Amino acid sequence: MAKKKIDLTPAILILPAFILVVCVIIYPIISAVVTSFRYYRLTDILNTKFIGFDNYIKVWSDDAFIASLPNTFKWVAATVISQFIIGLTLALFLNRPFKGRGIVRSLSLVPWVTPGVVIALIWTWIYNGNFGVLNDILIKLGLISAKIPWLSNADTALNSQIVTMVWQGIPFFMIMLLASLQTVPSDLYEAAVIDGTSVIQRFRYITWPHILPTVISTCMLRVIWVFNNVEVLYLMTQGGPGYNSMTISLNAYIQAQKSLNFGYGSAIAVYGTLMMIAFMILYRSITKRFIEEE
Amino acid sequence: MKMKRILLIALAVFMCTSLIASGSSESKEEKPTVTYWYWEDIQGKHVEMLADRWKEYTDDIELILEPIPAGNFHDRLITAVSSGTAPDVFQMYTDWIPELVGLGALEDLTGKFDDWEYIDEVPDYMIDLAYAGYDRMYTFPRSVLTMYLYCRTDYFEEIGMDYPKTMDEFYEAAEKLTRDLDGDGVIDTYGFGMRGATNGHSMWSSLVFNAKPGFDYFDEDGNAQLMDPAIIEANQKYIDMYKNGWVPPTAPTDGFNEILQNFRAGVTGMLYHHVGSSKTVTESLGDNVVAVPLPAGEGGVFGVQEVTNFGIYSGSKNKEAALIFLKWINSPEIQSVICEELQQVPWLESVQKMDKFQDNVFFKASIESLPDSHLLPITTTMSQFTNMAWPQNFQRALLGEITGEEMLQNLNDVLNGV
Repeated sequence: MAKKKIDLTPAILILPAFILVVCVIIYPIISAVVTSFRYYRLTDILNTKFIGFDNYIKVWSDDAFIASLPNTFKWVAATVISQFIIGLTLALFLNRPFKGRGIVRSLSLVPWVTPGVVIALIWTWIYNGNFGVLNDILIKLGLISAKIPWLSNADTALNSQIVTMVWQGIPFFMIMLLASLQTVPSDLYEAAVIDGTSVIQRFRYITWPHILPTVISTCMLRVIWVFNNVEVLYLMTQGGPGYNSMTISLNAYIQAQKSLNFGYGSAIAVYGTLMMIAFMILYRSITKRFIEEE
Repeated sequence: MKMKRILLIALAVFMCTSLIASGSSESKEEKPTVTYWYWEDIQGKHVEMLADRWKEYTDDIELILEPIPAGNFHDRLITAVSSGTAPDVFQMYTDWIPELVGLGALEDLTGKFDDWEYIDEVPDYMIDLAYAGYDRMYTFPRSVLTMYLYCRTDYFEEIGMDYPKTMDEFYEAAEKLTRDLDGDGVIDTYGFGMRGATNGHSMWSSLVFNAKPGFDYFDEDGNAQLMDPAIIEANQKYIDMYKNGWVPPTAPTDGFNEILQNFRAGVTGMLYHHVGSSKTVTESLGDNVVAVPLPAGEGGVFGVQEVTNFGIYSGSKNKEAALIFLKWINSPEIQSVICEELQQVPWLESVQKMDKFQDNVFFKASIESLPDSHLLPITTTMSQFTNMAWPQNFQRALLGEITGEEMLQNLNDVLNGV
């Protein structure tokens, strides 16, 4: 009986990508999980040791972590929902022909292509409680009588940074949804107009079902990005004042990179990852049902 | 056929070994190279200061100057050490010593400066800083900055007060400098630029720890002692400056840029900083600014130093050349140039005595403050204290989310590693 020859070509072809995935994704994840079970401070590296679930237990008595849970929810939900609504509105507006549309489309990309560090610095000065342009404008409009320390006030710090993040992310939604809108066949709208449908009906029954897959994927991407974002929060307030703008990702970053407490920071990062996985499973099941209904 | 293959392999091996051999013989003829990593705020200054002077000093060692952005210098250095590609010589903060010693990255420099012609000019406290509590000297001093108080001369004339010498006078000045100048009900000037963001602990410790003679973060047994009644009281007074409105309402998140900008723009009347900002401050305010020693509390003055050191990488292949470079860069001629250009306090005695430093009020105030200044503790818990615990707890105390006493208790726990 002749031996069956095993064709190794597919395995060889896939090997470079597999090695890359292992090195860049799988190894760092495993390394972070292993680190989270250790006492691992760079400032005390000689005493590095395995401590089981101590880091995971300690997290629940950490005021910064407890405060970061509702902050993270607010940060992600308010940012992504606002970005989506404004981005969709602008996409619908830019989908209509008008003079100078090309220029408007190009200019509207500016916030998206500006580095996060620059955005954080620009907005920090806009919000500055002593010299910021925002206070000047509001005082001149008669909306406030005294300057507001936007980033130093517990009630306004996180909200101010959400506005910054919304401003930065609108173009992403706008461009993605605009691309999706342009794939909707125009004859569907023409037929609907002949049938006497309203603008809202045309949006609900023609536009929305067509752009829904893009909406779902862009929202999912944006949730992940905003959840993981630390540069804006760190540069503007470092999670402060107090813990008022502390999020899970920022807490993990500061613990690991600034306090050099890699074990504890990794435990927080693992919690964050588990929360994101749980959210994604929920999101997928809800949106799957949603698409099926459409 | 087989013979041909063996011959080919032998030829290939011969060619490779020849190449390696020729390479190594060439490298023997090459000059030793010293790579120096540094950070700088004024781009290009290091090259301008050092490159030509080094060539004049010696042509036998090649010097490579590599600027690294200050923000990620630490991470780059640690990564380079981990991968065995660290530079021969690097700039570093004193509180990185435990971490770098732990990684085995620092060459032991004990005794290697004994034959240096300027060693007698180095003050004992700078040598202590180089040891950083270890029994071996792993670094050599690079720069030191001491804190003092900048005061607006015109503002103090307007309120009819002398510059504060005591903490009572400091608080009185802060209150009087807080003024509504145009009568519109809005405060136009504040007393003091309080730094509530990261690194505000230097200012805080100078203005709180002076409440008790000989006080410091840790007692003789190495236990944090922030829950001292005198410190609790002094801490509350410091927090009350914010609650009384004597500092800008942005104080909880104000960092260095904000407090400097506020002082330059006339928003505040007093600024806590060092000679490094003297050029910027005088550019904006001209003669309307003066430097005075920090105010004294019941325990005298609690000055604070910012120190940087030089380290030689233990894995360097050019340690001898690196040592020659360190001795050169610390020589009086080079130190005087660096201190003048980068606005740092000279610490070699002959450089301190130079007219250009003695005639400058900011340098003079710094040099006079040097012996009484404290180095913030170098412990394994300090990075967590400075980067997270202090700003977060202080900000919460300012906002009234916790009391001043709770703030100190939390900080005490962090310092004790609880």
